[in-house]
Amino acid sequence: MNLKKILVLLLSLAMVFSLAACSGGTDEGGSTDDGNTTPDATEPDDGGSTPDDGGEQEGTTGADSHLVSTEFITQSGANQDGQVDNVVIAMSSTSVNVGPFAPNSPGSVGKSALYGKLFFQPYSGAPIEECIPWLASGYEQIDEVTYRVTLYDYITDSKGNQITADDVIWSGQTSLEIGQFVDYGAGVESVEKEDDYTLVFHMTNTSPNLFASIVCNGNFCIVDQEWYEGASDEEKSTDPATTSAYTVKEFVSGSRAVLEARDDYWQTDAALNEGILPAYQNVKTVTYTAITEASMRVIALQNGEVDISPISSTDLGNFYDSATGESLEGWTVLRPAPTYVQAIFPNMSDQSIVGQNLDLRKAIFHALDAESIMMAAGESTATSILLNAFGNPLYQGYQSVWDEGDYWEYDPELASEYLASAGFEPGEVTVRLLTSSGLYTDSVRSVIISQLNAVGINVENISVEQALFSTYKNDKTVWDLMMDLKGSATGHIANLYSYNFDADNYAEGQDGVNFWKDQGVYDLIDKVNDDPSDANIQEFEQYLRDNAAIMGLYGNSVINVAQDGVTEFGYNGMLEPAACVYADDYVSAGD
Amino acid sequence: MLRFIGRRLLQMIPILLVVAVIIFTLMELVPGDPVRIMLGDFATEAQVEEERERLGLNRPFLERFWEFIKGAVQLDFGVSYITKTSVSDELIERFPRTLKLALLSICVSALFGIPIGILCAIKANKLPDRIALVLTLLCNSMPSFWLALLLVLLFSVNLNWLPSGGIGGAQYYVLPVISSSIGSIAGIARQTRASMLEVIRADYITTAKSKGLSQKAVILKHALGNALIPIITVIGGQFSFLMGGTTIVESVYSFPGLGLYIISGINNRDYPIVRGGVLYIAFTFSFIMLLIDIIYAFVDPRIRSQYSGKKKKKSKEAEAAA
Amino acid sequence: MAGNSENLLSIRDLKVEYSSGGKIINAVNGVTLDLPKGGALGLVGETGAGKTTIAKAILQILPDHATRSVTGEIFFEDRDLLKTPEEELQKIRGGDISMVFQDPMTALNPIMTVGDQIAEGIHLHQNKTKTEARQEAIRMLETVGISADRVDEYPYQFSGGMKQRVVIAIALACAPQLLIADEPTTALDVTIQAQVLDLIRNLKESQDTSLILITHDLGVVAEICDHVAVIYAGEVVERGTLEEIFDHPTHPYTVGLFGAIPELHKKVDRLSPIAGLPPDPTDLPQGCYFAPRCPRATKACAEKHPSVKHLGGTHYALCDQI
Repeated sequence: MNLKKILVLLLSLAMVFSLAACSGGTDEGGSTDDGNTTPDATEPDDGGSTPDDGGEQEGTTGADSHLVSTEFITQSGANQDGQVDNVVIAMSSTSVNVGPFAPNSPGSVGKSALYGKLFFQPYSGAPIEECIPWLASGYEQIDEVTYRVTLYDYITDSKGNQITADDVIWSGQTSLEIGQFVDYGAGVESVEKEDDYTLVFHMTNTSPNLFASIVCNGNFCIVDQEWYEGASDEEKSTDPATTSAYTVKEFVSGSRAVLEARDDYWQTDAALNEGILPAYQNVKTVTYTAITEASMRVIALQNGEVDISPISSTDLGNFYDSATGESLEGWTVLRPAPTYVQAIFPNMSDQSIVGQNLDLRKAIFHALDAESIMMAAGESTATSILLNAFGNPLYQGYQSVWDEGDYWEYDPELASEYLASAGFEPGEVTVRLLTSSGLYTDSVRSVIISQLNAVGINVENISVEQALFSTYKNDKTVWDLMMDLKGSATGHIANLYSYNFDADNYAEGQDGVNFWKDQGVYDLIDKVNDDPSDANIQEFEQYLRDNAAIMGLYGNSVINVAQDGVTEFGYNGMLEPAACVYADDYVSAGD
Repeated sequence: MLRFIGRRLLQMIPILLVVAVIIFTLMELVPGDPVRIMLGDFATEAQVEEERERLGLNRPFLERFWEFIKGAVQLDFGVSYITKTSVSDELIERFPRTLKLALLSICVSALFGIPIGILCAIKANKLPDRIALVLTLLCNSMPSFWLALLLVLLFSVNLNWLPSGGIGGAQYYVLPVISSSIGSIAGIARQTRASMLEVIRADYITTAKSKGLSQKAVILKHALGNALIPIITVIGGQFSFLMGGTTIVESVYSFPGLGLYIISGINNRDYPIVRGGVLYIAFTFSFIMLLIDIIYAFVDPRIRSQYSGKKKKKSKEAEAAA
Repeated sequence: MAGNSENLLSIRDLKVEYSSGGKIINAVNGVTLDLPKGGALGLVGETGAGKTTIAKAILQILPDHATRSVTGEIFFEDRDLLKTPEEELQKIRGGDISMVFQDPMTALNPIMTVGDQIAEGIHLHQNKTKTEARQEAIRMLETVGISADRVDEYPYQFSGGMKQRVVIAIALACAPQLLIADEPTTALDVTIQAQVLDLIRNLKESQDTSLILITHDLGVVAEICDHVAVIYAGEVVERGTLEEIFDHPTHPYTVGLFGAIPELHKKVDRLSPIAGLPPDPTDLPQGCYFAPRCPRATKACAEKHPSVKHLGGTHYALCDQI
């Protein structure tokens, strides 16, 4: 009897010690899956529009340009002579599919290799003037909301069907009806066919970049109508007729998709293919394999089981030295331009003490240090940008003047002063903080809570799973402060504004993302959307600051790592394996 | 006996119906809006409302429930809100994988657990017994997640013998099966030990020995058969647990089985997936319980007669005549 | 007297110790017995006297885990069973020496048909095929008065008396030379008792089997046995032929046993049992074990262990006061 008890005790101790020792291993910071389930549909990239925007490294785009740190990539990839046989890419979600009308979340199979779009967007948020004609041969802007688009008349899919204007209209409509491309319904008033290869789009409004965001959209997959309507379910999901440069060779649901370069790709004119990354066909067979656990993806990379994989920012240390800014030996790291906006939202309604009290909000914003919050999330300057406004420097319309001024400086003393002038003793007020446990680790919450506590603001921590979060955040009685991430559907900052603050986009009585019922902001939104001039945009941001309506913290994006046989990533906001550059001595995991 | 089986199969119908009602209602009541999740953060309220209308989520509860039942009877669970693929097709692909995993695991557990239990019973309270009990305690205490990671580190990363995840051929099942089976070995071994100890002291064992049977024959032929009933119960319980509980193992090995599918369904409030998946599991549970009962009947004739409703046949009359 | 050709079985100074909970139980304390070929020896004594232990010691089926030591000699046809290796013992059990147990309700394996249980021994000891063994089993069933069409029935379908017949059938299936019957009728009704005893007697005569009958019922002894041995506290306190013991009971214990039997024709108000209880086998008294209850005990009896007295013929008693 006694012997048994001693043994049990020894075993428990052994387990505890081994766990403690293990955490020093592969994972820095020890978290194997810090809520980084990159939940497929909950990534803000769903509904298809990648909120990326180009900030060209050189040159200008749009109204105002902003020189981004040259470390971050907005686009890369090149055409190679010759073709390597294999590349194996890990996906973070098992909801993989290769059909034309199904989700295209990041960490999933790249649809642009399978289905062509009207135009190809060289980087996220590029305006239409910079987009490359793909299935379309060109466009003509007739008026503010009308565009005529012409198609090539020799487009055939992998099963030999001809693509015509009818197919394009039908594809867009079907995508909307299935619920995959809601922006299509919001952005496109109607489409008419002029003839078999000409269409006219009537947009619903003049929001900048709207047209580009529709015709280049990853969800606007174009397929032949007769084929789709006649095909069996099995064929549609395992062997679809594709209009881009690859076909599906094999598909194992929940696990694997294998794409193969088409020999009969319809666009044979190399000059017309220039810039269209999937058409480069640098690799013959692309294998996507699902590995849901972040730590397992790291293992797979190190084990040589995959060539490319997205990783969580906490695992970056295995592949990249942040101090020198160099990838570690044997690895190529893609650090894409951070395109999301992580922000703190105060509840601006009359249901919350925060909403009633401007000085309290100012106190909160000055009490918070965006940099330490960013670090707590596992990010670093290698993977994200600190924000100086409600907006990401990579968005079109971002004002460089914002980078020169102060933005909610971290100043606990000032925060205390504001707290006092708000009429509260330290320790008197409690705010409820709502966050998604799927998106943020406990460290992030701890930092926010301790920083607020330091100036005498108590915090009630409401941390819930993603699905519950998406319900709670629309309930003005539940929270006073919320941390969440946002993006721009069109790549222009105006869209960020209207999406978040335009009451029309929200339910009756909700009045915007943080319940701000204010005619002033509504008027300014209209003003910016009608005329996205620098002055109007700056006025909007100033209005936000004057009202302490929101605080931008930092922007981040998803990191990809490849074995060093891949010398350059093919990337335009989404990973394009066909445009990766492969070294001469490249050996794939799939070989 | 056939009547018994038939009756039990029929009884499964109301059970499944109750499960259907519960899971349908539960998912409706749980907070979290599937349409919001499906459309992502950037959908406007209008888009959400439109989609909800399109999916028919605004129709009355009973109407939707009835449609669900109609579909379920034909094994059509609808289309996933998130992936837009047919749930039944996915289930048909994933269910056998999880089933195979659970079956293999339970077989391995029984294969190791029962002999260990017999050994412990024969050598009760001596050294082999104590060692075996400690080892099984060790196995039982290891969290499957931890064990799974360790196995990957050893066999995939260091030795490179086995893949670290995915699906493909037999080698993809090895590590998941090992991870799942180890925990059950302890339970089965202990129950076997306890049952065997009880049985070994029975009178009929002495009778068997007095007939001159070897130790091995006494144990395997006479003792084990009688000890089996509680052991089978434990195995059945473990199997049911495995069917629902392979999620952790599936997660680590990215094994595209039923567990991961349902979890993703729950996280995304993807009602069709959860409903279909849970019904599948409920059905499997009931079926396994029925199988267990049938196995009981095979092992123990007294139970067999209960099922057939046979009485103690004419023995009183025969005795009076004799 | 080792290896006597007249005696089928000769036990010399058998001592058996059990251990339980750290205590030593002196179950058998120096038993010496002879059984002539064809004879029927009755072992008489109270419950706990050690009779069953003697029987099990003969067959070497004492419980392994509880038995601490077995010393002495048991000669069966020139062989000392205590020194015979296990493989040979397995041949002897069921083949040359068989045992019928006390409780028929638990003596049979519940999940095997009676036919299989009888055939098992036949198949084991005689070079017969399975079919031939089954035929033999059916024949044995009929011999013990059970109809042949019950050969594939299970023990639970039989009453107590029938079960005991089956046990007897199993024991005698291979026509052993020695049958040990341990209180075969104790658990049965009086009417069935008579049947079973008749059966045993008939089989004994037709197969020429020697018999050791263990019982606490002097009436049963009178019916069947021709030799008697009285056991008290693990010792043979008196032994001899049936007439020697019944006509001239000498040892105070034997006298007490006979005295305790009520005579039907006498009108008696109270029964006259032997005063006191048997000694605790873990703590046996010094001197004579019966002394504390013996009406004729002297001080010397309590100090010195008595020696065996030869009273004539084959009549022996273990007492110093006669």
